[in-house]
Amino acid sequence: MPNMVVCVKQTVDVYQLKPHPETQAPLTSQAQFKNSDFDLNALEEAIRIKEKHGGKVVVVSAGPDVKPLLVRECLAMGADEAYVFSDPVMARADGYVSAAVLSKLIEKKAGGWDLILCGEASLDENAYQTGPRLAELFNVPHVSYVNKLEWLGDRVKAWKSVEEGVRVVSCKTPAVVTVGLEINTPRLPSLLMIRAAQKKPLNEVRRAELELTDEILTPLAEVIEVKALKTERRRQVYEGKPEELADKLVETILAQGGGKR
Amino acid sequence: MEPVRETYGMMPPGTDIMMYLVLAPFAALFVYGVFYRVRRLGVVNTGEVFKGLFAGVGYLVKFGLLQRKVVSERLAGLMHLLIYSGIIALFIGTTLVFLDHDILRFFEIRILRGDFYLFYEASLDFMGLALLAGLGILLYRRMVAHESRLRPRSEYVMVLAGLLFIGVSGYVLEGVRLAVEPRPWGGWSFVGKALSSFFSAAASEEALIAVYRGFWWSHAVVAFAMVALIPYSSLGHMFSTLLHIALNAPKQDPLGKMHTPFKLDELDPSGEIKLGFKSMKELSWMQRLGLEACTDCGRCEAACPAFAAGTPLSPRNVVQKLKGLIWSEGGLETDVFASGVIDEEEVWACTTCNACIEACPVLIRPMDYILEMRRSLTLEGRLDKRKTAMLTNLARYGNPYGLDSSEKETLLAELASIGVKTVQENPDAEYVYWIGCASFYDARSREIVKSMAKILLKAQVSFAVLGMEESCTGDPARRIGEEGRFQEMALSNVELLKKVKARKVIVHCPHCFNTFRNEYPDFGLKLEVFHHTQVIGELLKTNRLKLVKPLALKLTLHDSCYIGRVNGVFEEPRQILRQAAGGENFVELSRRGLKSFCCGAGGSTYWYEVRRSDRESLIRLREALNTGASVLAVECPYCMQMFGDAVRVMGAEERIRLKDIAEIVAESI
Amino acid sequence: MKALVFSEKAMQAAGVAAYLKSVLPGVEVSAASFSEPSQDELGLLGGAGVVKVWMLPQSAWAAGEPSASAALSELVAKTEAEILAVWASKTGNEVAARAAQRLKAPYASECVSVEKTSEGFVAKRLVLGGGYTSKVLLKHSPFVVSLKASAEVGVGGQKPDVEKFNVSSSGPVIEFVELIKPESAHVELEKAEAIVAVGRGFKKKEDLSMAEELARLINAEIGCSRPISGDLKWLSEERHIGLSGKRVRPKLYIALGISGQVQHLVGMRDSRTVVSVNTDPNAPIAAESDYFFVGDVYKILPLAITRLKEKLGS
Repeated sequence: MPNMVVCVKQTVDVYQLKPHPETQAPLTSQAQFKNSDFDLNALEEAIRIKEKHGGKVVVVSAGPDVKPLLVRECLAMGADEAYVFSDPVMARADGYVSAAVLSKLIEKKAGGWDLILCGEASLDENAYQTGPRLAELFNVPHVSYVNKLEWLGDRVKAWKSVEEGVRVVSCKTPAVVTVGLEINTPRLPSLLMIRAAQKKPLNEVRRAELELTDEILTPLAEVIEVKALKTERRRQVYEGKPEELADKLVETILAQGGGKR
Repeated sequence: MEPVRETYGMMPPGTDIMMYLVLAPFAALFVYGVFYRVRRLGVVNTGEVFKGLFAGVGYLVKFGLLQRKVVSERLAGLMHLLIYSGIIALFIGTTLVFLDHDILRFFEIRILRGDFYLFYEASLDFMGLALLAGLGILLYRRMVAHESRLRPRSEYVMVLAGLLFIGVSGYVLEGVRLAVEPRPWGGWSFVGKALSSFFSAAASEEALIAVYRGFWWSHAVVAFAMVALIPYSSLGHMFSTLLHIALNAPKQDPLGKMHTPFKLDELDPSGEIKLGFKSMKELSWMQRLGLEACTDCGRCEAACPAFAAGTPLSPRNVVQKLKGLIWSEGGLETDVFASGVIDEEEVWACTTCNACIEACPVLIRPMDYILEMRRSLTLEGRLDKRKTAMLTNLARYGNPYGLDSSEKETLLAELASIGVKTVQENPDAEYVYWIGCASFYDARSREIVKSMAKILLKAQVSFAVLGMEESCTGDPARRIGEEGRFQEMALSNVELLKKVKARKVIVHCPHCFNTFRNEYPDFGLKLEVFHHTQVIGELLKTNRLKLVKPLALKLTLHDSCYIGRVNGVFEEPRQILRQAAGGENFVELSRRGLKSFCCGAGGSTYWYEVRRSDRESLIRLREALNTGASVLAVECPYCMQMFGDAVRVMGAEERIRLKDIAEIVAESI
Repeated sequence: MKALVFSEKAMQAAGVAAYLKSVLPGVEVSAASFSEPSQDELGLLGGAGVVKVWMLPQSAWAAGEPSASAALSELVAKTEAEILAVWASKTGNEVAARAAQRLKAPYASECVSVEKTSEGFVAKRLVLGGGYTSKVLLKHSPFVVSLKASAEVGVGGQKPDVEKFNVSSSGPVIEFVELIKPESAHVELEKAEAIVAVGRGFKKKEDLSMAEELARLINAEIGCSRPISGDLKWLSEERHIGLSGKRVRPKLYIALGISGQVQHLVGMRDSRTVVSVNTDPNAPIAAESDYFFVGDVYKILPLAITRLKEKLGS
């Protein structure tokens, strides 16, 4: 019966995000937050493994302002308990800091584990880092981009997506697995289930408990600017003879990067 | 000589005693069967049953005795009426004989004599013919017309043969009796009399007496057997339907209102969470009775748009499969989805158009069971990507499309430019005009609001819109089974509408209309709700609005489910269209009014896909094209979107145009 | 300044090397390889300006990504490279992330550019669903980047030396079971960079070949509105873009004969650039387009395809 830990990041809802009309910086403060899509796939996979083989699912989440309601959604999906590190310092975190904090949360709070599941990337940063970094920290194998997973007791077998197709691999546990969107459809907890999840333990953990020093919390890579690529549709209309339009169309397509291999 | 009934004539003495001895085991079987069925159904309190029967007596008379809905289908209705009245008459006839011979005779009273007896003989002969005629229609429907929705069952052969035999053997007995012992009043038994001359010519008296005795016993035994069969066969429907009508019908919610299983604001989060059902044991016995009453007549299936569109759903199959579980070994505990009895797609294909409810002759509500099963799936989050996305959109953006609410500004700016005020600008407005998500986010549907706003402004109606604060009513959440989310949205809308002191609301979306009218009262908000066609109709009637440029086009109308069938608004749209186009230019679709056919968008099905071989909107558009109309008038933005797609799929852009009634009116003022 | 480049494919490694040479003048680029490079590959790398190829043991690669990244880390440390630049394939990203952790090095993944500024090295990458660029300062060296950027590889440079490098470190083992090549190309519309979407402007199924031809020419995926897949079944359901289909966000979205019902718009409005062709200038898609061509796809498309073939030379 595997003990599983799922790392769930809360990210800004990128579909709804609007840039500042002048600076073009994202108006993050006005946007809503959600559990990162891929991470919900990871959680769903853990719950399915639990439904089949038993065990336990612990959710860990770290961020500058972790919203309890969103964590409760994870519990409502079927996780057993959650450990949360909510600290403004996380606003500047890079992959190095995030992995360090998560590893401390797991080590100090989640107890023994057989499998760590993460999304292959987060919705906002899209960095593909956390899983491999955690695995390196714990010196265990990892498999990324997984779209099918089998728990075999002391091993896992994984179908990972690569450019050439699907590579099937296996490794010993404990291990870290990061999953893609194709692996499953996460269940949507109904409002009643979310309410009922209030009964499950949601533990806030402080910096001191995790022995997080300033050094650990200092990012190695720092975001210095975020800017929108574009704002409004240009709404350029072309009318005329088919020949002219065809030429203009080809020109436009090529100018917009069509035809690149 | 006074005419009098001669019971046991031509039978040897002692036949009456013998007959009761033969009857006894059949009667025992009947009684055992009735108890078995009642117990299996789970009836716990018989007192409840009798009280319920008393309360439901009005429904019993209207829908049971008078068969109000059975006869709404012509041939099937006639068939049922003939068989039903035939059997009842023959049953009454037999009961009178029993009273006359076995009870009253001992008090030296005879009732079957004189003129009454003659009337008795004539009417029984007549009603026997009615029974046979009904059975004739039955045979015609099954063997000649091969109505596809009628299913063969071996049990039916037995029941049919039994009824036929009782009918025919009754006449044979009468004929032989009159042949052997003619009576001056024999002519009143007109069928028997006619047969008697044939019999007397055909055989000797001894032979006839032997035949008589044989037929007498077989007639009696078959009749007893049929009675004994009642609790074990489809004949049982005569009790199950009546019981269901009396007990359940008076308690049914109005059409369009889904049952409110809990109140979110009063809910104890630590309590047990249960919603909908996945097995029969989770239903009350009254709900199981509703399934038990199904006669497998197939009318709901014939009316079901999802069935017509080739989805896995047939409401009749759903009900029959659930009914089957009540009687199968371990069926009550069976998980309907895990066992494969119900395919999840069946449940998702329902457009909640209410046609099955309208069609059912015995007031069963197949749709209610379907929606309750949805609730159990949604509670556990067993939803595919599209359904999940829709619910997430509702939770996050307040609209099912998942578009950012800032997009509402587009329409609001356009409305403001023609002089429409918001409730903040005009707090004393008489009406609040609720725009609805479709018209906020879909470019085509925005035209409906703009047209309606023009009309209201022209007629100087005092109205205002809610502006940016408006969000979804929650209808798609409730219909997909996410009751908690629906109630959360309903409560916040109720608060908003109370805050702006809304009393009268105009809506052009039938789904919003229905939710306000039928579902929000449970959450503490009673509004006067008007569909835009009702408002326009009233403005025309009171001459506050005049149509000056009549539309010289042939047009037809698609009744939307939630304005038409569910909420009974049929007249206003027609009155408006006749006035706008001239009476001669308005043509009706063959399926209209209560029998209108859904566009395929209702019950949240707009937001996801179900496997299918056809589409409701295409079926309906073909009907509309057949009328030769060049405009299809609609009264719902979702019908508009569905038919919009259908027109493109069929490449019918040149042949037919889609217009909301408000657009037609706005063009002619 | 020394840089080490790596990719499973020499072609991509060369592209990355050439890119580094173009943006960081004076950089000395070596390449890492887990197999003996062929003469052609050496030619490629030489053309890109690579001066040396370090040959790492094949066994480190065969043991899986953890092991490969351990070997690369060791090489970076030993050669005192300041930059580890990896082509941002899926495997590349994995290896880079794990190596960065091992080296305690700053790391930026899937970068579209790298530059040296007065503050230090700055990588640019797409974030927040691809609608925003983020500039990341890599605060010390060595640092790691995985790059989606490459530059044209020159021809006829000097072939680099090849030197074996023995590694002492290893990582946890991943066992390879099998590679399943896709039977039919699995459509991943959500990840497509360019999409040609078709609607009811097409009257017959056969006519879709025009759109398919265009898609082939510009290396785009084919998508469609609901009527095409759902009702007419001209294309499979996995190509359906919209409310009840997929939600896509390519860099280039070309809508052909699509009127733009809200059903469809919801699925495509996150596209970077939208080009549409439609006969009706008032179609709702017009408001969602950057470039809107008023005309009939049947007239414009064949001409455009001919023109495109001339330009692309195929």
